[in-house]
Amino acid sequence: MLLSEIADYLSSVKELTAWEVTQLKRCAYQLYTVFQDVENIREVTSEEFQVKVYLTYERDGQSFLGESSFVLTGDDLLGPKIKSALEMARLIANQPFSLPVPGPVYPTIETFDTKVAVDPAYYLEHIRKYLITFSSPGIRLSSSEIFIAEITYNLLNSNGLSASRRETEIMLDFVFLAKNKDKEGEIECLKRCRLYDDLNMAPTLNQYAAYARDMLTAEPAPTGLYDVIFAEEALDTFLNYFIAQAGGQAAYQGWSQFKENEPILSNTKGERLTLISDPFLPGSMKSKSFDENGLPPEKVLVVENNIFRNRTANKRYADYLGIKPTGDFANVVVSPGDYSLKDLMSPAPVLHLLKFSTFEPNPVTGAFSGEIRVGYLIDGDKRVPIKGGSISGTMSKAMQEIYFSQETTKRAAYSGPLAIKVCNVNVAGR
Amino acid sequence: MGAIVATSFLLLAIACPLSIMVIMIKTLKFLLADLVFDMEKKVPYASALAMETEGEKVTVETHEQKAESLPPQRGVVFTVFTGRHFMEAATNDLRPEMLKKTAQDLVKKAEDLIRYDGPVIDPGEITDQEFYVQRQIKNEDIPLAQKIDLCRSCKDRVERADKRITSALCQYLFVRTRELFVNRHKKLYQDMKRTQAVAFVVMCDGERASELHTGHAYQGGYEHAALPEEKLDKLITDCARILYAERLNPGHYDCIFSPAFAGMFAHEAFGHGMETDMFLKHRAKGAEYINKQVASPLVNMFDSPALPGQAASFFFDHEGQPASETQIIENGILKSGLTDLNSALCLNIRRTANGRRESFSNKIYARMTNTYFGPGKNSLEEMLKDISFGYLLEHPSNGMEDPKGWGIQLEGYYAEEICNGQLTGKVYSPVIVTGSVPELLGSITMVGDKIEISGLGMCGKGHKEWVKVTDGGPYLRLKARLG
Repeated sequence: MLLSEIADYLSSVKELTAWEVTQLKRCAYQLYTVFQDVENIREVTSEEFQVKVYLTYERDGQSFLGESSFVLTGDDLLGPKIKSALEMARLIANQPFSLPVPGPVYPTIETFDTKVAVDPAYYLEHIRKYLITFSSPGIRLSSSEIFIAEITYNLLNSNGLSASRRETEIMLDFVFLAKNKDKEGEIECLKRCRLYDDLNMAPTLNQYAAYARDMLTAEPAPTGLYDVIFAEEALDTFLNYFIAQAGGQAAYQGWSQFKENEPILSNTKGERLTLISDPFLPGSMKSKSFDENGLPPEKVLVVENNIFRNRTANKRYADYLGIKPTGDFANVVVSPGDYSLKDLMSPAPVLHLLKFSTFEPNPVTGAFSGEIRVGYLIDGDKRVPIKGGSISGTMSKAMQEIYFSQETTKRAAYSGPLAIKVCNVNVAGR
Repeated sequence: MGAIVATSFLLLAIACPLSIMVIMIKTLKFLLADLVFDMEKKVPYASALAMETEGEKVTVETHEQKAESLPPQRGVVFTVFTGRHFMEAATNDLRPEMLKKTAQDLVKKAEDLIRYDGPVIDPGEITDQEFYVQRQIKNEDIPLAQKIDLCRSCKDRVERADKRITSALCQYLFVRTRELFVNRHKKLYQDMKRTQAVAFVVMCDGERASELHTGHAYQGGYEHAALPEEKLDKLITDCARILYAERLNPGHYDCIFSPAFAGMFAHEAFGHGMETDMFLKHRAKGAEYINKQVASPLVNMFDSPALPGQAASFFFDHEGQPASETQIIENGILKSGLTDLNSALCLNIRRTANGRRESFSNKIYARMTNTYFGPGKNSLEEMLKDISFGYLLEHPSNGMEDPKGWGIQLEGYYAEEICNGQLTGKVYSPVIVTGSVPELLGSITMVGDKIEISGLGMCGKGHKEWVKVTDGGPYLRLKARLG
């Protein structure tokens, strides 16, 4: 089946007001190890066409949008799929929105690693050798999973818009075991990136080996109110409540608490949050030259010094809300603060938390909790490893006093302060 | 480590070209058998698994509606064992010539790596069987308009119940999964149907907001599409209570876990930690505790893909192992792990039907199915009777465990105060249970007499590899550290 054949067929269906079709090709190479040995070597190839169909109609003097979607793979027959999608779309009554028209200029963004795409087998083996030859006192590799994929998107719509992009995706998951006389412990690392160089193999392995060793002497977190510094993996989802609240869907569905040009947090002490959605960061996981509707995404100043400035919205929610489409929230960019990481470590004691089992604030209520997997209790010169116990609260209350480090870091979809300090967080532990 | 997420606004099925796929699967059976035969001329062991998942989903919420076919997951994965390790090739191009080429290319890559001095894989008894989940009402026979009306009336009913509701959602989901496993001795085909219904509500009152969901999922057809009225009433009542709930004071308390909370506890406590691929990687402490006491003698725990009607049940796993029950804990003693082929082979332990993959494009791991505590003898009233102060925990949201360190965290939306043997109606939210697995299991002093299984769960392994699971149990009385 060819993309153009599907497009021609969709164009011939008179009842359709609009359609979109995206061809998604994926070639994935996977290598799994247990200790030094290969457990499994896999190769997966797939191709699918994601089709969305739209029809507008009038009822009681009001316009409605009927819509549905389906996916074609292999030798699927297009006719029965469209028939079934039309049946569904006729029964749906959503608010209409329009698809983009041809003309947008797509930015060039670095999301494709040519070397990796040309010889994925070499890189799989290269990364495996790196892992199995890595040596650090008291540390042993338990297992690893290495994935390399090349993904191609080709999008067409009924307005004649056409867009294409290629991406590479690298995932490395490994587990280190640490052992001393009395105890055994483990640490898991999961890294995703688009460019091989962003794996930073040597620093990453050394860093996780150190965590694994530290966890052998770790204690559960103390109980009480503590100033908490979020860093490393803990930063990846830390701002997800703000991202969800700032989205067009939240406003349209009535659960966004954010109002334009008003503070997002009241009575704030410390520093003020500046949050940007940036789809252009080279190699970042949420960088892309066009969104699901084929629009070039925009860099958006979402929160400026604690004031909510602009909503992110794809074409649907932008039309519904009468605002400019920007694409969904892309990579998280946070402005650094005035304090060094060292400054943030005082007054003591402070909890420096790097990794939770999960940390996913509720998008509606902002309630959060996280079980601590790697952290340190900093008390002057003392640095005690912490594992176990949890932090909890709601984002709006917990973030009444926050600080951002001067030093910055870049992660899979985050660029900003190396550390974010939140004062007076509820900690439940020993 | 894995996570169980109770909220699974999943997929669903619609009028799909069913006849086309049935013919294709039947055709593939003989083709795949031929290809496995050819592959085994050059490798010690080969198998093939064809999978197709499709379905329909109808979602009606306050501001939007959707009716859509589930993205089909359809493909074939060929597996060969070289004598040292496995190699796999997967494709969603099911044309016979492409399947043949995929199998041949895989064997070519494996040929130079073959060692005949490694472990030998038992292909099992010679069998050629087909299995079907039965339905009272075929989902395909119900007009789409009726399904949308069902969701709309459910959503309207919820919305009307309370003025503070800003968003309500009702969803119907039908998933049909067909799987064909072929090796040298086995030709196994299963056709499974699952129907799920979910309601979700958001309440706002000034600066406060709360959300909650309810639902069920069972094997079977449209007879499971509607949610019982009492579930919807409880959803609204409990969400309103959560809206004004305070946070409880952290500490150790007498607790009662609801069956749903007990289910999440079972899943996290000795579910992930008994998946034997974790034994192989030295990542599970449970490996050292087989036949040792790990829980109160009142505790029995099971994993069974053979439970009739439950959403995570099947007839054979993705490596052709027939479904059967595994008793993980017997009277407080840790008894058996959950195995996939590779870990059973390497550890030389009994195979259980737990070799599962997310889709044809994912690898096999040892995974849970329906995981639950067995019943005891106590009623809820007996459990409440002599608690002077404590909490009843309901509405679990998610949990995590640490098989290596036996730490555990369970989170939920709802803790209702118990005072002098009575529920007071005062609710705290959210609630987090943290502690060590044996300490929590050892503190169980009463086990309820009736099991309930919650069917909405999905389970990941290391933040990926999502498969359908359920969990459950009876009410449990225990001591726990709450935050």
